[in-house]
Amino acid sequence: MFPLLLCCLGLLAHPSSSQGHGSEFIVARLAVQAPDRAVSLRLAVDYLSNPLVPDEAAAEKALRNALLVLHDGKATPFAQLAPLKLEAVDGWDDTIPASLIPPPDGEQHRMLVASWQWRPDSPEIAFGVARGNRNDVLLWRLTDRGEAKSVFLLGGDTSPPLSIPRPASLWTPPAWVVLPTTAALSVLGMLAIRKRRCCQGGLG
Amino acid sequence: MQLKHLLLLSGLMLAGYSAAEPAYELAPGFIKPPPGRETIGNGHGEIAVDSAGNIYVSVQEADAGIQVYGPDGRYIKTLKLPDSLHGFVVRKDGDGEYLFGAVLKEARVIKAKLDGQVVMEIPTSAFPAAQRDYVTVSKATGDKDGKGRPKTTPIAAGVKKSDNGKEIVLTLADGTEKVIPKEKGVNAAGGLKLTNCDVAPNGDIYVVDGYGRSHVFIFSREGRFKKVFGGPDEPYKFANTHKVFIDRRFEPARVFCCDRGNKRILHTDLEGNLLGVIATDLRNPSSASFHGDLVCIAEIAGRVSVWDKEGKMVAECGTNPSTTNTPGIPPKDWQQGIVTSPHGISFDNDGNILETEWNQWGRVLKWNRK
Repeated sequence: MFPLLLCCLGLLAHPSSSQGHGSEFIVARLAVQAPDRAVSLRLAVDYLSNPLVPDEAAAEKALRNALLVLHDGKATPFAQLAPLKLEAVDGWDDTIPASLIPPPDGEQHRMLVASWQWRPDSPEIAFGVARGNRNDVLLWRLTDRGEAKSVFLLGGDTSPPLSIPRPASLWTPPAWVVLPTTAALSVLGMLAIRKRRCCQGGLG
Repeated sequence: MQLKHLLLLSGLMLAGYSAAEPAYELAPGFIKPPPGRETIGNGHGEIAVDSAGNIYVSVQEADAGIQVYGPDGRYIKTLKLPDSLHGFVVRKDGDGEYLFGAVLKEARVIKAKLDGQVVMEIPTSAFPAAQRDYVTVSKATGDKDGKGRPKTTPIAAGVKKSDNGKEIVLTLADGTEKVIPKEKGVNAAGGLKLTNCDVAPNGDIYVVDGYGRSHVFIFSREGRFKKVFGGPDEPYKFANTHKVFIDRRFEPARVFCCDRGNKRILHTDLEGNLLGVIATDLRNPSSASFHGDLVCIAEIAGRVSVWDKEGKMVAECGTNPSTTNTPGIPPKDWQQGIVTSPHGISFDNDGNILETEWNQWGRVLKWNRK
């Protein structure tokens, strides 16, 4: 009945997970808030068992440089579009799909997490990782059915496009409301005209 | 007569083409797991083939770190070796054929007979202190994160000279010493994380600290330290150099470095001098094996590729259309012939490709050369 607010990603066939002996890539959970069309990311990187990210400062740098947003013909570092809110966590929490949490590997993990939210300025965007960026990104989201879909982005890769349809600004009444209402208004209009003619005749 | 010549020419062209561009086809269900098991077991290791064609696969199982299969893929036996043989090779050395492996969790290297008897070890203590004892010291900032846990910040990195419980003494890069009081919240972390080794024609053993700082160590055949090169600094700028191999396609042999974090392959000479980058923009090269003039590469983000001696990719196998890099894909989601996370690889003696994956259930794929 109502137009779909968001036709979310066609992201992807295969679930992937994180870790490594290396959790040697960034995990980014994507969500789209329907009411205000805001796109949000929750990115996490391990800096204790990750040979590419030796400490918290490197983790913050890796997160800030993680993604590009391709929008309106441009590629903009995502952190330039909206601020990142950083926090440290000590587990995988909801940073990766529950079904893909790595097995206990005897390694300790310490994660830095960044939250980001932005309202797109174009009807379609995509995410990419800059060529030469060593930190790969596992971009994932939950479907309406609660299924995790993901895409793994290496430097130079771009995600499938994410469609952001126009906002549903006004309520469009359905036909079963429109037709009777139009008919009723027409009848009322005709009655009003006849009544006016009647009155005019009386005055003359 | 003309037709005959034409046919001959076509034949020669086809022969030339097939020689230049090898092709492979999947051998479905090649590996037969041990009796009573559906899969081989938790894999985060390597695969290798001995001169008789037997296949060795490492799995993360206590005192049963290597499974041995016949050339036909049938399970033969398990070797009582460590459970974290992340990288290993089978090489002829002197009077016999041996397995040389890096034991990741124990930061040591072993040389074992093919029946599993360990005949030599390079212990952690044999590695130079400059790399072995390199640590980063962090301390609590006084702030707490959202979970009330103290936030920390690195305060120094260097070679740990001593730690008496009251203070940590580091030797910094400029040679000076730094004494750090071991107050509450001060912690040092680091150490070797050895991921692979290989053997040069002269018997020297090359070991890489691929989950550490990506240094390559050279030891003599007897296990005596000789030299170190590589690491995160110029000119190498290695990052997560996952495995190194001795590339005997060249004379003299070279060191073939799977510099995974930089998504590239490069050569050094046997002394560690950079010779050049062979390939860039790979899908995270994790392991390699040689046969004739070819090298096959396991790319953990979803591809097996084959390259010629000139550095040209001539074939690929099992490419996953959606790049992967995970141990968490269960057997029900495996697609025939499509890789998940290639972690170890080997040619067999006939030039067929065997690949083992980073997978909790354990997976081996084989492609036969056409």
